[in-house]
This record gives sequence, structure tokens and C-alpha cells, in this order.
Amino acid sequence: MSRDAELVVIGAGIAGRFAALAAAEAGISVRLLSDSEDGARFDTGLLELLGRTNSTAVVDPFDAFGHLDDRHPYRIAGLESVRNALRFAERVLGDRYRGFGEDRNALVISQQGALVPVFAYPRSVASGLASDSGTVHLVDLSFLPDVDARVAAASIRRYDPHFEVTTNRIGNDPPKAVPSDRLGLAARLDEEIDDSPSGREVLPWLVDRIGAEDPRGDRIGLPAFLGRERTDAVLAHLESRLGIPVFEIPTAPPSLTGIRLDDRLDQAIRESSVEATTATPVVDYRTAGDRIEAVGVERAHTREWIAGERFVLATGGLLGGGITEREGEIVESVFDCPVEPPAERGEWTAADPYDTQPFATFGVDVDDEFRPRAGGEPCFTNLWATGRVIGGFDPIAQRAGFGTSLVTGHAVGRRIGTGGRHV
Amino acid sequence: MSERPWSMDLSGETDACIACSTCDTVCPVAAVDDEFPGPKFQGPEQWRLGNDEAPIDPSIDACSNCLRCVAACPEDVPLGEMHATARAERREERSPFSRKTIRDRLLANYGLLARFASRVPRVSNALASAAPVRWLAERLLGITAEREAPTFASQTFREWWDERGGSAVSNAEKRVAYFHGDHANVHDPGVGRALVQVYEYFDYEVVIPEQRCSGTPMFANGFMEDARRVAGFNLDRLRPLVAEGYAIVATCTSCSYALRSEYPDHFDVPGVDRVAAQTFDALEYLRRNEPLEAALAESGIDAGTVAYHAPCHARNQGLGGQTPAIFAGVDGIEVSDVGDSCSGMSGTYGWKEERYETSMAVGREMFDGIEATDATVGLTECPTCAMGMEHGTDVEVDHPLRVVRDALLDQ
Repeated sequence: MSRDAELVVIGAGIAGRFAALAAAEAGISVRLLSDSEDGARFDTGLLELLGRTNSTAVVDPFDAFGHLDDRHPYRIAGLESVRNALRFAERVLGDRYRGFGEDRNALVISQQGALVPVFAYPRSVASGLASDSGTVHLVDLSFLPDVDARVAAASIRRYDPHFEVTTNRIGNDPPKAVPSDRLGLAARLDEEIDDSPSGREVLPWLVDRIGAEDPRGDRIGLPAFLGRERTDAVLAHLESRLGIPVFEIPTAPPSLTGIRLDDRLDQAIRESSVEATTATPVVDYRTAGDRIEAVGVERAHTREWIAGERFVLATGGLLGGGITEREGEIVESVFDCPVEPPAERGEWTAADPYDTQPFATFGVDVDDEFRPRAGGEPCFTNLWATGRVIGGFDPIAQRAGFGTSLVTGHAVGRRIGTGGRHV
Repeated sequence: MSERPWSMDLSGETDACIACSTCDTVCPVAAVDDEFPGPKFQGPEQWRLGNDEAPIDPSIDACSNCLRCVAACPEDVPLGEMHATARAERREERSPFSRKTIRDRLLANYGLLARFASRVPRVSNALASAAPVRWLAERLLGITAEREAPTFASQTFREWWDERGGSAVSNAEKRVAYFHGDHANVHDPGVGRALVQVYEYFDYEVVIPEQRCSGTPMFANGFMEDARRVAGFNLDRLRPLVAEGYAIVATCTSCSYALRSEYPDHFDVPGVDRVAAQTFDALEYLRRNEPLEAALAESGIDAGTVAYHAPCHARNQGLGGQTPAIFAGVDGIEVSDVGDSCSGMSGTYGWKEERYETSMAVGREMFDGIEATDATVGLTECPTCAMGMEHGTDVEVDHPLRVVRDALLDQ
């Protein structure tokens, strides 16, 4: 048989991949099982650690930990563990990300003109922080209709009436055969940046149209489409031609900032000793007493049993499928660990779709090691939970999705990898 | 949608689609062809918005059937089945005598052509490489002249097996039936020989059932009746073997994908689920049942850095990380995964004259990934991926099973 893995991670989203990477770095054998590919493509790619508590924007996330419930993942992990996770993320993400050294949140301008408190952010977003001074000039493209600079600007001014923002729209006479979607544009810019100047079409057109407008403020913001792999070079080119800093605005899917994050995490997994497979959903499990012995993977109509010493549940919340509805009950979909939603179904949602939603808190209850528990005792002695499958807090209202997945994934992976010595 | 033996009512499954567009973002054809609307349109949108009278949109012809959309969908929308059904419907709408239909039918039924051509390999090779013939094939049939045709071996795998006298091992407990596929049989019998050697090394009795093409090129081109015909033939031969305790193993990941996934999804034939449940990739089966990695770790090989490309159909069977993992502990070989990319070939797709440019544009990401490894040797389980890799880069491509054989048998 292929050897038992020392650790089997179920789910390859943010939490799953960080858990696998942390455990592999500590030196144990890791098997990473995922249902589908590309787990972070929905993401904005912004490292939101803790953005809001009690509906107030957070400036210093570490200070704000005191406002969190004592069963919140950050409180369970502890401040030192959170810092270790952030240092790890900084290493994995390399110089693609900024903000780690600042030790406080920065405000990033979102597609809708919200000012999002984030701890770290992609380099391409760095010149556009609303927390930095300087006027902003937002440019949208008429053939990318989901980003509207005027809507974003109006929204920013509602948050902060003193914020100086101007807008412009380009795109009336684009080059022939210009791709009309962000991914296509990004691919084209990746190609053009390495072409000789005579071979380029879209880049000079962008420079010309953006540069033609006045005022241009202190910095120019564009929806994120500036290359998928050559973003730094494309950005540098635009900045040198326009003579002022340029930044990207993270968008809804297709989100280039999320896709680049996904690409980087996949690369990190490939470069590690983790054995990762996709199209391997876990549909069953076998136990020996209070330990999980093996999980059953469904692989194109055949069932394979993957044995391991320890298991990490990183299957996600309601969106990822780790928490799901079955016959009218909310359940944890792989091991049936208890999820205790309010008894009345009407209490699962708030009437206004934009209100804080109770279902965002659905998930498993965990002990101090992040093992899911039933009635106060761990469901299994060798099963840990990470990421959105953990309940009891609202990652959306707190703007803490990436952070809670990163911190719990890293803490659990490192603990298991070092035999419990480190988190 | 009309009643056909292969069509299914998928309108309920479209409800699972949350329009997240993830499928569109991973589609390699959509990435290079701005006119191509993408899998979200080909699948859930057509199903939701279409009706029995509306013709299938012609853009489905540009879909390469790589199935990356299937792998990426977070909600398990049956995109592969939707595209296959759309292709079959579209086939119904076209004249059987159009140039494209004849060409597609020829490519889809390549197995039949290969069976005759393999009897006269020298003549076939001379014809296939002759410039006038290639020019004619492109002008008359639309088969691209840009690519070199695979060569026919002087002896097919089956001929070698018959000459050899069959299995050298007799073992009632450990028995496998090898589904070799057309490519291994007539173009690359060395892979088949390697399979036999490796399995016999682990004391397996190998049988070679009568077989036809797995049907993959027929699924990919919408010839569902042809696919059903070959599926029926293969299942008739494989079903009794499975009942006797044989496992079915394949060296081509498109063959294993067809048998274990496409057959049960599309055809309601007796035994289809049981055969699917007992079908494996050749190395997958060994890994599950034998100490393959331990045996490899004890041997060594002099291969250096090799660039591994996981075929899309392999990733869809959950086998994406298998080859790098198998060789992780072996001295003398460093397997570098070129990343989640599509070769652009997808079987018959890259051979169509009007799809050649697209297939090369799609494959570019893979070519760049290969070049980034600095390897001179490539590794993959899919024969057409191998063709794509060799056409677009300088690597020579081998099959992982041959590397395993070389390591275990010191050759």
C-alpha cells in the first residue's frame, strides 16, 4: 500500500492549504484532498484579519482582540499564534503582498467604493490605500460594466466627505479584438509586456486614454486586470508612462487579485512535499474507537480508503460545502460533527439581506486545540477543524474570513507537524 | 431536449449553478478565444434559457472537452454531461455529409483506421509523413498538416502478446485485465510491454481482453451512437472478467476516464457501474495494492529532472498528484510538475485544422511551464498530451510506467 499519511487534510481552500503547508514545513507527510480545483478564486485576495467589531471599523486588530468572544478562533489560538501565522503567510506570499510590517489595518478601496480595513494586501493595491493621503482618480472601462467608477466615488464620499476622488471612463474606441473580460485583458497584458513596443496594442491605448484626461490626481485606480503573472511589470510600465502611481481595485469574480492568490498558494503546495489531489471528495470514514482510521474518497465511481494518523477538516462553511443542509437539518457534511443552529428556522436568516446574517455563524464547536466537539468532548481524538467550518463567529460581519482561515489552518498544521510542541 | 438513449433531463441539475463563473475562469479555450462564450453558457445557461426548438449554439464546436470546468465547479453542476449532450444534439442538426462531419467521424473512429493501417506499418508511416498526403488531408478533410502523425510500430502490442504466448504468471488471487487503448496498441506498444513487465514483477496474471476504442474521441465529437456501440462491445468483454475478480487497468488516462466516469454517466447498460467501480489507472492500482513506492525507493534511476504534465482527464480522476508522489523518494529523478495547465490537444481537437491555432494558444501555458523546468524529458500518461508537449517544446516525452519499469527492472 502507499504509506499512511501522517496528516490528511480535507479541503484545499485557504485554511486547508495553510494547514498542509505548515505541517509539511514541520516535516511530516501530508495528503491534501480536495473536491474541486481553484479554491480561492472567489476571494478578493485581501488579507482581512479583523476589520470590524460591533459594526465599527477596526484600526488596530490586535487591540481589538479584547472585544472578541473568548471562544473566537483568535482568542483560542492566542496572540502569539496569530502573529506566527501572519509571519508564515508573509513568507509564503513573498513580496507579492504589503502591509505585514505595519501592524495595523489599512483601508483598501473596493469595487463598490467601500473602504475595507485589511491587514495585508497585494502590492498592486498598495498605492491606492484610502488610509494614505492624496487624491484618487478612478478609471473604469466601458466594456467592463461591472465596475462603475462614479458609483464607487459616490460611495467613498459618503464614507468620507473629505476624500478627494475624481472619475473617468474610457473605452469608446478600444483596439480591435481587445478582450472584453478581465481575464482576457490580463492575459493580453501578460503577453504585451514582453513584446517589443511595436507589437503592443492594448498597453499604449490604455496609457493614451488614461493619460489624456485631466485631472489625474495623485494616484490612478483601475479595476484589477493588470496581468495575471506579470502584474508588477505591467504596473511599472503604466506608472512610468503616466508619471504617477497606479493601483488596482479588487473586484468581484472573476477576481484577478483572488486568482493570483490562488495561483501562488497552488505553486507553494506544488513546491512542498504535500501530495495534493483534486476530484477527490471525501464521502465516508472509518473509525477505531474514538479515532478516525481512514477516509473514503470517491474517485470517478470508485471508492478509495486513505488511511492517516491525523485528520484536518477544512471543508469550508455553507459556501464551501463543509456545512450543508440535509433533510431540513444543518449538518457538518463529512463527519457529522454537531452543528447547533437556532431551533426556529426563521431565526437562521435576518429579514434584510444586507443585515448581519445568523447563518454566517453556523459551524462546529471546537475545543482549545481546535478539535470539533460534541457535548464538550472532542468528536474524535485525531480530528481538528480549521477555517469556515468552525462556527460561533461571523467572519463576514467581522471582515475576518481570510485571517480566521489562515490562523486556524496554520495553528493546527504547525501543532500537528511539531507533535504538539508549537503553534 | 429530445429523447435519445444518451440524453438526460439535466434541467434540475442546473439549479445547482450559482453563476459564480469559476468554470469560465478555468476554461482554457475561453482564455484564448474571445468569441467563445465559455462553459457557463454552453451548460447551465443554454439549459435554463433554451427550449426544444432552439438549436444548440454552434460555439459548442470550439469546446475541447478538456473537462476543466467539471473539476473547478464548486457546486457539482454536471457540465461535462451537458456539453456532451449539446454536442450530440448539434451533431443531429448537421448534415452527415458535410466536410467537417466526415472529418470528425474519421478522427473519432481513428481506432478503426488504425487497425487497418497497423497491418502495413511501413506503408502507413510513409503515407502519413508524405508532404502531398498531409497537404491533401488538410485541404480535403481539415486535418492539420502542422503536426507530425504518430508512427505505426512494426509490431502491435497485441501481436507481441500473441507471439509471447500470453501471461507468464498464473495467479488466481492477483489478476488484471489490461485495457491498452488504440494508441498503445499500434503506436506505442512499449507502454504495454512495460505494463506487463511491471505487473508480472508484482506477480500479477495479466489478460488482454478483446477491445475497441474507449469512445473518448466519440464523446468529444458528439457521435454518441458510435460511443454507445464501442461501450457496449467493451462492457460485454469486461463485465465477465470483473465478475471473475479481475480489475481493469489502463495506461491512458482518457481510457480509464471513459470507462469509470463517462460510461456510467451516459449509458444505462447492465454492469456499467460494476465495471466502472473496478477500473483503475495502471499506477493507481499498483499503488493501492502493492508497496510500489517502497520498491521504487530501494531502486534508483538516472533520469535527472523531468517535467510532468498531469492530463486534464487524469486530474478529473483525482490522480493529479500521483506521478510526482510516486517518484518523490527515488534517487536520480526529480519530477517537476509543470502546473495545472491544458496541453491544448484534447485528443482529436488539436488535429483539426481550424482548431490548430487555438490548441497551440491553449498549450502555451503548458509549454512555458515545461520550459521553466529546464528538463529535456517530459512525462505524461496521455498520448495526445505527449504529442502536444513534443510539438510545442524540445522535450522528449515518456510514460511514467516505463520509468517505473526501468527503475524496478534495472534496464
